Amino acid sequence: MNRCYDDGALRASVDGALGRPELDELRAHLRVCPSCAARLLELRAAAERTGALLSAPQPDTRAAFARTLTALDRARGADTEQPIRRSSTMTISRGWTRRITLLAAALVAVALLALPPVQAAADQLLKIFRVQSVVFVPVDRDRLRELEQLDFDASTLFVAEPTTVVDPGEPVTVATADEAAAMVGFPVIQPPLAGQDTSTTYAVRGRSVQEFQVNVEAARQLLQAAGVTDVTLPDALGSGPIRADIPPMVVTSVSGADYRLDLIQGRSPEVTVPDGVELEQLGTALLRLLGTSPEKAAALSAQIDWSTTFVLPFPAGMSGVQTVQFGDITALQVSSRRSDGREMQLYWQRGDRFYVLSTQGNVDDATVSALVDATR
Amino acid sequence: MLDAANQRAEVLDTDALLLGRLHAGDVAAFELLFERHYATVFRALYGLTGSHEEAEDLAQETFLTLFRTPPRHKPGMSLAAWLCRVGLNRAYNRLRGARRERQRAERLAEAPAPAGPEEELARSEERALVRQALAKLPERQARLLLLRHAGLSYAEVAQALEIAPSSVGALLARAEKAFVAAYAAGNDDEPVL
Repeated sequence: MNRCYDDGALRASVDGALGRPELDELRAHLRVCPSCAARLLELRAAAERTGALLSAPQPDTRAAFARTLTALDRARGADTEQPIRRSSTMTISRGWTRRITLLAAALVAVALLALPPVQAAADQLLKIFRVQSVVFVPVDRDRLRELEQLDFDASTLFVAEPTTVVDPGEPVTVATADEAAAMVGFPVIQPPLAGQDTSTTYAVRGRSVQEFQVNVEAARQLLQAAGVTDVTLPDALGSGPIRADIPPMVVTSVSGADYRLDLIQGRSPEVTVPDGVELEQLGTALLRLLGTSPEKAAALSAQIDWSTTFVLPFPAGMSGVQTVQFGDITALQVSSRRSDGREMQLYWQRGDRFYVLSTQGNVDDATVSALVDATR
Repeated sequence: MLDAANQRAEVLDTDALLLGRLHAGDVAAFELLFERHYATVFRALYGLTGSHEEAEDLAQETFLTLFRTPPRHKPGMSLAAWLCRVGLNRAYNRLRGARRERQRAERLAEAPAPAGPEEELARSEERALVRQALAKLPERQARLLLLRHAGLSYAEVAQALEIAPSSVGALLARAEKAFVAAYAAGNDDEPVL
């Protein structure tokens, strides 16, 4: 065959998408036609270059399937539980009530943090300790299931109902960042998202002081039920009240047509534990409860400065947790996907100030980056 | 790549059976279809977004759509083509808003250099340039490249784009030339940091 080939046929030959007789004819032609041969080389080079530039890493299909099932479950649960959109004050008020309740439990048996979703765990712990570094402890899914099935009544961990020494009251909503700053005593960052289609509110939560006393025996039973017999909790843990002093905080909420953003700004809480309580010992107990082997738990616990380290238990194989660098600020990012859009939480610390940013829907990286920068 | 496409051609019938079970709410059928097609959908979406997380997010939405409203199977229909079309539609819808486009451009221009080894930096720059180059092409051309390089066969690409299978080679040749040229032009424009 003497006629020259068009680019389409030449390109298809690169992919082996020509029939056998057609391919044989093409080869015969290429032997006698340097022009077509040269074009074929060009087309192949462009195809290979394109393939290389568009190449993708191998995805973890099993993990993706597990996440998709979770999203389906969550969507089903959300349908029956409550409407997706709530007013901002409702969200804040309910959210805080839950957090304070969980805060008390977390202080007693930090191990319980393995049970709620990882975001909630992160949320609580950052309010408890002065976080300077983060240690990720992978937890086997089977272990998590075992812990869930313990059916342990967390309320028995307290000698009595936790007492509220200083009641923060209901959050107060103010109109401007300046008013909020005057109430909390530090400058309040204004999210860089102003426009006609956005609404911004500032809700100030007052100072709160909680006290509670641990029932050490119940805490020991929890460990035993979970199969941890090589760690003992000191009697001192229950010898006096644990006191958590949480300074005022401000929650800035911005919502637009297709996104919602909440930024919590506050100072690190002060936590006082009874004399004779070794944080290292509690840390080891936590690691053991999470399924870390005795040797590894001891070694890890000795390395960690428990008073400044945030321990984040997360299911092994989970891919949505990562640290992100914004200049000299290291932030912890937890991403999740919901059927109604992307959800992300970011935690970072600046001096004695901590920041928790939650976003839902269309909030792009540039906005997040600008917001973190503003806290410098 | 072609092997994967051929393999898919052989499983079309089972896709049809599984779709039938999926219509009846069978989660096991969903799992099999997920395992079979997830990587292809992910590759197409990663090619467009350059982001592992965004591609996973969009791929998940795509499979949630499959679970909730599975398509009716028709003879000769490719589920991989259907999934890729749904995924890319979602991805382009996200990209479309003018505001988003502007912010993306700003982000590309202002993104601080990520900390890390030089290769990582080079890779993230390359991904940004790939996205820029794709954005310069007509959308249909970009879709064609993403579908083919995700591993769809010529017949599947034709089905996803509703074009004649015989025209895929010619369109592909044109699109790849345009893409490589756009990428090279973007590379030249890049300011030296």
